[in-house]
Amino acid sequence: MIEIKNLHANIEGKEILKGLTLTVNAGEVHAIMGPNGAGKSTLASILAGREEYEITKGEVTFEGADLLELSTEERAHLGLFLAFQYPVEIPGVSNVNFLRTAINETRDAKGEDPISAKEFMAMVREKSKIVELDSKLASRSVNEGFSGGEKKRNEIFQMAMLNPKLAVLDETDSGLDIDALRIVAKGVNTLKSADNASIVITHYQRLLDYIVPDFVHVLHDGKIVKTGNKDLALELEEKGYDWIKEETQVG
Amino acid sequence: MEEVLTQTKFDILRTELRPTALKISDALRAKASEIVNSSDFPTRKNEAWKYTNVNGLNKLVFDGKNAPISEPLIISNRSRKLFVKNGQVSEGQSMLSGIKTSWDVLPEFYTDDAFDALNVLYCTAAIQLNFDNAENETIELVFENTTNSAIFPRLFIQCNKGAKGTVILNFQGAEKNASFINVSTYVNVGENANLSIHKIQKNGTETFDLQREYVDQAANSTFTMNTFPLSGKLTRNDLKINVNGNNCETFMNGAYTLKGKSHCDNHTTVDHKVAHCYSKELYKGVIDDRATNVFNGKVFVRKDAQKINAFQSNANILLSDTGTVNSKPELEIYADDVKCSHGSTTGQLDDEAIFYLRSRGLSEKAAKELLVKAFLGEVLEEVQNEEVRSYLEAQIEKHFSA
Repeated sequence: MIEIKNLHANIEGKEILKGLTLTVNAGEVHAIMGPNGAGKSTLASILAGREEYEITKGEVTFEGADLLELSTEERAHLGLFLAFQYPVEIPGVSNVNFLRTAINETRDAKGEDPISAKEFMAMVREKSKIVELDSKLASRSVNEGFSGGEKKRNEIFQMAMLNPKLAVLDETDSGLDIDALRIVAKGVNTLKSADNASIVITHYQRLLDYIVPDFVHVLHDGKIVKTGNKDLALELEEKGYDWIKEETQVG
Repeated sequence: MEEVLTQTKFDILRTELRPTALKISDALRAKASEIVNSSDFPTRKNEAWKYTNVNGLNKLVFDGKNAPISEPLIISNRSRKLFVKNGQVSEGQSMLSGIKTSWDVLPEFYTDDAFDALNVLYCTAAIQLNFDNAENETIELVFENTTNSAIFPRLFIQCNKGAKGTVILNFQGAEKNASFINVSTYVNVGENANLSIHKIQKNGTETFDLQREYVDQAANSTFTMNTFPLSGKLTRNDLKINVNGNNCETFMNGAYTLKGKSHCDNHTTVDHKVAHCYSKELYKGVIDDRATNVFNGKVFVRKDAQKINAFQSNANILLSDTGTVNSKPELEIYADDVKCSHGSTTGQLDDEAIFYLRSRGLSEKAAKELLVKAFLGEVLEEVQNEEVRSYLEAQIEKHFSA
C-alpha cells in the first residue's frame, strides 16, 4: 500500500524527519506513537502534501506511484485521506456540497461519471449514521460552529464518504471526551477492510483501546526507534517515553 | 490684454458628444451648462475621486463600431421590459404601461455634480418608471451596448405611496465594447412604499461607466439597492440616499468580481435625517490580476435622528499580489442614542482552507472557486429576486471558468 524509505524532511531549515522508514500493507492498522516534537504530525503533513516541508532525502511509494511527486489533490484521487488534527472551519461552504464536489473531482480524475444526486444523498444518510452525525450537521457549513467532537466525527464522516485506501488519522483523539472517542473509533473500525489500511497517529494509548493496531511504532527524534504489537502501547502508557529516549541514546 | 482660454478636459470630451435631442427648459440648460463650463475632470486632490482617474474618457472614440453580444441579454422572464440600444430607446416601445419614454420637456431634476449636468446636456434617453400598486411588478431595463457610443440615460423611478416595485437595470456590453456610459437616476420612494433596484453592470472591457443614484425615502418606506459591477474598464457608482421619514428601512448590497486591469469604485452615502430608522450595507468583492477596487461608505446620523440602527460592512479578497483595494467606511454621528457599526476587511483566501479542500480531492482552482462563491454568497443571499440571484450565480461561475 505505502512504502516510506529513509525519509528526511526540513521545515524552515530545521530537520524534523531524520530517516523514517515504514511499510503499511492492505488490511493493516499501524499506530505511530511518540513524544511531542518527535515528528508525528510532520509525517502526516508530508504524506498529505503540505508544501511548507522540504524533503531532503528518501522516497514514498503509494499504490505504485511516487507520492512525493503528486499534488495534494492527486494523492486524494489515488485514495489517500488525512483526518486533520485541527479540522478547518469553512463558513458558507456546505458540508454536502463540498463533499459532492470532492467525490466528483475524484471520479473525474478516474474517468468516471459524476455521482447522481439520489445516490449521493443515500450515501450521506448511510455514512452519517456510522459516526452518529446529525444529518443537519451534514448540510451545515463545513465545521463552522461544530464542537471539537463534532469536528472529529465530521472527519470520519468525510472519510466514510470518500472511501480511501489509506487513512492517516492525525491525533484524532486529541480534545475528545470518551463518548466522542468511542464513536470515532467505531467509525474507523466499521470502515476497516482487507483492501484498505490506516495509520493512526496518537500521543496517548487511550485511542488504541478502541482501534486495535496490528503494529505500534515509536517515533522519536525523526525516526522510528521501536516497533511492536499492541502491547508496546500499553508499555508506553505505563512507563512514559523516557525509557525509549534513554534506550535510543544508549543504542 | 488678451484672454488666454484654456481648454478643459470636459471641453475636449464635449467635442465628441452629440447634444441631446430632448427638449430642455432654458433654466435647466443654463444651470447644467454653467456647472460643466466651470468644472474640469476630478483629480486626486478631490477627496471623492482620490483613487479614481477618469482621464481615459478622452481617449474613447465613439466610432459606432459594432460587435454583437454573444450571451443572453435578458435576466428576468417575468418582467415587463424596455430595451435601450446603444443609449437610444428601441422603436415602438414607448407605449408600455408604467413606463414613460417621450417627453415635452425634460423633468427639472438636477444636482451640482458635473457628470450629472453633462448627462442633462447630452441625454440620449429619459425614462420614467412608475409603481402605483402593491403587486410588486418587475420592470427590467435592458441596456444593450454593441457599438462604441456615448450612452447618457436619465432615469426617474417613482414608487408611490403604499406601492411595491422591483427594477432591474441590466447593462450588457459587447465583450470589448468601449463606450462611455453616464447615468443619472432619480428615485422617489413614497410613504409605506417598498422599492428594490438591482443594477447589473456587465460592460465591455474598455467601457467607462459613471452612475449616480439620488434616492429620497419617505416615512415607513423600504428601499433596497443591489449593485453588481461585473466587468468594465472603469465603473464608478455614487449612491446617495436621503432618509427623510421615520421608520424607514434601507438596504445596500454590492458584489463585484474584478480582473484584468479593471477599476471599480463604489461610493455610498446614507443620510439619516430623522429618527427610528434602520440601514444595512454589505459590499463584498474579489479582486484578481491588476484590478483595483475602491469603496467609500458614508453614514450620516443627524442631530435629532435618535434610535437609528446603521450597519455597514465592506470585505475584499485579493486573488493576486498585484490587485489593490482602497476601502474607507465613514460614520458621522450627531445624535447620541444610536447603534451604528462599520467594518472593512481585505485579505486573501485562507490557505489552510484551500489545503483542507485539496486534501479531499478538489483541485486548487475548484477549492478557490468554492471559497469565493461562499464569500460572495453572503451578498447573494440578500437578493430577494430569484431570477437576478440565479443570474449572478451563473456569472460568478463563468468568471472562474474563463
